[in-house]
Amino acid sequence: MTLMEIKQLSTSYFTPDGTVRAVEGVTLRLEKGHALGIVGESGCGKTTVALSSMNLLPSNAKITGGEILLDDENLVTKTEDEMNKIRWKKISLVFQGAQNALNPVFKVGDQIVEAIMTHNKTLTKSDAARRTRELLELVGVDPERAHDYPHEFSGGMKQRAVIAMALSCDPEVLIADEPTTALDVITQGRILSLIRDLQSKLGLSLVVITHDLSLTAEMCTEIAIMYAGKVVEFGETRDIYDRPMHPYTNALLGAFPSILGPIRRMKTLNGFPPDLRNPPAGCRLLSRCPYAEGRCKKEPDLEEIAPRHLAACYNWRNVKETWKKPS
Amino acid sequence: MEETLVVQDLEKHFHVRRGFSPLRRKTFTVRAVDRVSFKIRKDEILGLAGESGCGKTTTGRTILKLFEPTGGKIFFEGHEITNLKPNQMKQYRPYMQMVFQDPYRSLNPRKNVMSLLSLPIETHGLAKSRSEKLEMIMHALDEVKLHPPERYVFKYPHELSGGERQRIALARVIVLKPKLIVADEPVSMLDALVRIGVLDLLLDLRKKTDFACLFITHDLALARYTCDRIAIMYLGKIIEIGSKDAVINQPAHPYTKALISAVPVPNPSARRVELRVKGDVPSPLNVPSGCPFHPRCPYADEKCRKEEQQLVRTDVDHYVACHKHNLI
Repeated sequence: MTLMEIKQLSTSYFTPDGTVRAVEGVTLRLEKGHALGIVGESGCGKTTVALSSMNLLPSNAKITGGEILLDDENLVTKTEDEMNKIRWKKISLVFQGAQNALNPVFKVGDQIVEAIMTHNKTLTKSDAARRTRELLELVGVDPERAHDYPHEFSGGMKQRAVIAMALSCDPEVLIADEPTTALDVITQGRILSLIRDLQSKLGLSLVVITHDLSLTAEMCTEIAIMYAGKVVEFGETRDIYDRPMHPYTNALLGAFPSILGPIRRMKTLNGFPPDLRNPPAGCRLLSRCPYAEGRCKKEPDLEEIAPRHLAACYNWRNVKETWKKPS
Repeated sequence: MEETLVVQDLEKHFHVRRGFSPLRRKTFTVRAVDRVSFKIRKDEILGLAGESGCGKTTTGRTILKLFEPTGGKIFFEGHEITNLKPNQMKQYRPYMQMVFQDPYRSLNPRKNVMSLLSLPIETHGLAKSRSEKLEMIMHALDEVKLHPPERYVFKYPHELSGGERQRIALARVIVLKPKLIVADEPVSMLDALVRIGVLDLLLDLRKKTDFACLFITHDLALARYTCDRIAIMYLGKIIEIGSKDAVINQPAHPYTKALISAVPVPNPSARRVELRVKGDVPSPLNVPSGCPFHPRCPYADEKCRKEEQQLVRTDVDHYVACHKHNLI
């Protein structure tokens, strides 16, 4: 069952230097109980997709087209008051750099209590405090630590606390923006298994936003690869890794060293992503693509090439799997 | 001279004062680097890996004498440099260079590429004339594959992308023809595709110019790709060191095992067994007795709590500091 659907979403930032079309015509689908990974390099628009679906864009940004459907309700046309009833209760977000999302001068527990009471005006403070202890226990933090300040927490514990906060109102969809960046390897592994456990325990549907393809390999059921504001490939995780159909996906997969398997010289694409204030006509990878040819000057659409596997490339047949999977 | 750098029992201890009131103030010692020994042969890349706060950056900076060591010895090409004064160090400086983590902060935003690259040449008086200097700069830009060099010389850092900036940072080092480069997380701020470009450049340059390199990183998959040998640090100590195949494929220390098993693999069908360790890294102000890893180690016993194990050789090029390495 489709829980959330993003259709032809376009979001722009209006800056003194011109309009940056950060997201253009993005279509995504999240099934209930699944985990969707949105992968891309910095500036590809992945965080903007997340912020758009929460309606939390900065003041100079605007959704210029498309719809975001959550349980058949269009979030784009909602007013701020209506969104307040949806945010955190139906869809919630763990921000990037969550360590800095906690206010250093308030106790961690009090910050969670505040979040709960803001969204459930009828709850008493002691009910909220009880719920806070439950939540901390759920994410594997000793509930006694609710009385500590953020600086007394380690990086991993802060991340857990922020996840607890995001879960405070039992959301259906949890968006995690770079949930493990800036954490150490061992802590990173623990946060990953925590998120996976929570997903199965609470029946959450997840959206994981990351630049790291090894993370999505372990967490996600579907993956969308974004490049320069567009989704270039979308499919089930295994299909994406086994048979990448877009040259960019192929390049990205080839650029992640692995701890397993043979060491191979990695390949990269020349050049840089285009300037989104003035994107070039045609396929956005055109100038960097090893498979580029004349017809690529007209932009290819995202098409279903194999069942549940979409790619935006005319040359998908020729995209050879140039990388070897680590076993 | 086979070894470019030899480090013996290197120590760097910091004294920190805790407490606001002068009556209650206490002084603690942070053993950021504690009796660390290793060698780097010429044209070898040694990876120094560990979690944040393990002392890997301090080690890198201390061997370049950006911090004064508090103990141990450092030999650069056979000369002891441990206690040299800054003006005596000057003769070695051009040959020992550092590449920093953040190319957005390590380049002066008010200087263009020309002046950024002129500075090291002028400081060390390497060029006899203006034209020679210009030639060296152009050559360095060419070496780091910024083509054509003319397009880059008058650019300022803000006009360059992260990858280009890190290439400038490398050019600034390469122009001096160094014998030793300490690279402190040189690619951790870069995107995946750009990262590979910069790493491959480093590997190519090493082949061409034969420098030794200490590659500091927290990413073991990256260390495996880049380095010849790998050392793992934990709380200021090297707990395992050896060829990359030995350390990554047959890790002997439980901490190394835990680290490696926690690295996610970019393949959805890969299965990895996670070795779970307890708790978090303890505060460096209060390092546990005996083996520093014992409170977290699933195999620890009485001996580990009391006695610290030194590095012992387990294979041709594989050393590990664990009492129980042959039991696990």
